[in-house]
Amino acid sequence: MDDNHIIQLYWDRNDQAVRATSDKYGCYCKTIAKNILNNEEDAEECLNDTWLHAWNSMPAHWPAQLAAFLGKITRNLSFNRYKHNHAKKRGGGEIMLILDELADCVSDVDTVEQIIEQQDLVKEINSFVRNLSQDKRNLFVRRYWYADSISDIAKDYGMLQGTVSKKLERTRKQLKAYLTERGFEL
Amino acid sequence: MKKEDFFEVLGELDGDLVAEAKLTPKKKANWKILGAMAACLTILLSAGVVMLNLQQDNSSDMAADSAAISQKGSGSDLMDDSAAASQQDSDNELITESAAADAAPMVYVNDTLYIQSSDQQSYPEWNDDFVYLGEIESDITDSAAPTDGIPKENFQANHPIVGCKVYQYGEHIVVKINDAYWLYFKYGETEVNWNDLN
Repeated sequence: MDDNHIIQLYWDRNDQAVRATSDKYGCYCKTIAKNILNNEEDAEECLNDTWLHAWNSMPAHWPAQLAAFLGKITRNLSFNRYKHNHAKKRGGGEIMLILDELADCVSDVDTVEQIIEQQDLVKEINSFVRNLSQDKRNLFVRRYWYADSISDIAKDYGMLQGTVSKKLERTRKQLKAYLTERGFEL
Repeated sequence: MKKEDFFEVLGELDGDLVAEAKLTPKKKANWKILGAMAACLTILLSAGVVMLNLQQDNSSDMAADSAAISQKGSGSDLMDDSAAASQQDSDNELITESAAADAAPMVYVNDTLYIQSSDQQSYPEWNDDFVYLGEIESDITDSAAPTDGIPKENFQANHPIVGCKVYQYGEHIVVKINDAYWLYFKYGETEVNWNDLN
């Protein structure tokens, strides 16, 4: 079933919408949840919550990219759960490594006084990522949006893991310099 | 900013960037791995040639032996068996070579090899159950390198349909070629044609 047909089912408040979404995007969303949570049971719960959020947010919204729309819901829910678990010293896995890598781009301290205009920051990051070469762009998104492991990315791109890590490291440094030049002291 | 907050900010990347990254990546040639594979292949081929020669020598010896026995009035069965086995081996080789040389139209999509339905009928109308997957990105026969005629990378074909749109249709694949839809079914599974599906 194509995406517009699935979205129409949500707009029609048709119960088949959730079934169709689960059939088509269940694996896609679950991979994101498992990358972040490293736990089958938690990932499954996030998946069910994703369908509920999708049901509640449509028909108000007609997503241009249904996959990215659902993936983003899963990513947010999974990361919230990760933070909840982490506070209780549970969880771990790939996301710990990813967050450590992202420390290259930020100070990793609470900047209560510093009010960062998040909309502007997002705009600049999008602009930066968009101007990367296709390879670097996809590696960056696979790692920091989908939270995919270095080994999975390396396998998919036919690269050595060390090459992927090096490329990501250079991109993080470029991103930090790019944001700093534009006045974002993160 | 805390790294956790930055991870959340990265979640706001534009949908098209996110979608693009999950499309089938183009594997780059890893020359170290390809070199190692080529070396292994050379060794295997050399070993195969040696084994074949040894086998042929043995067959000749056995045939000569059995001929000698046969002349004495016994052992004709032994000669028939070894000659039949030798003939079957060479038949198998011929079949393999022939299959590689005359590979049917195939596409490789989502890590699966599909072969075109042999009924040679296209389907002129759009079907709502077609789910767009992408476009054929390469044709293995364009490559200057020797090929066995079997596509092995995602969105690769072994016939000139680069740029044609690919759709999922149930368990099968449909490719839009010159405004008509052509059916491909999973390689190795029971052949289907449009009449089976409509």
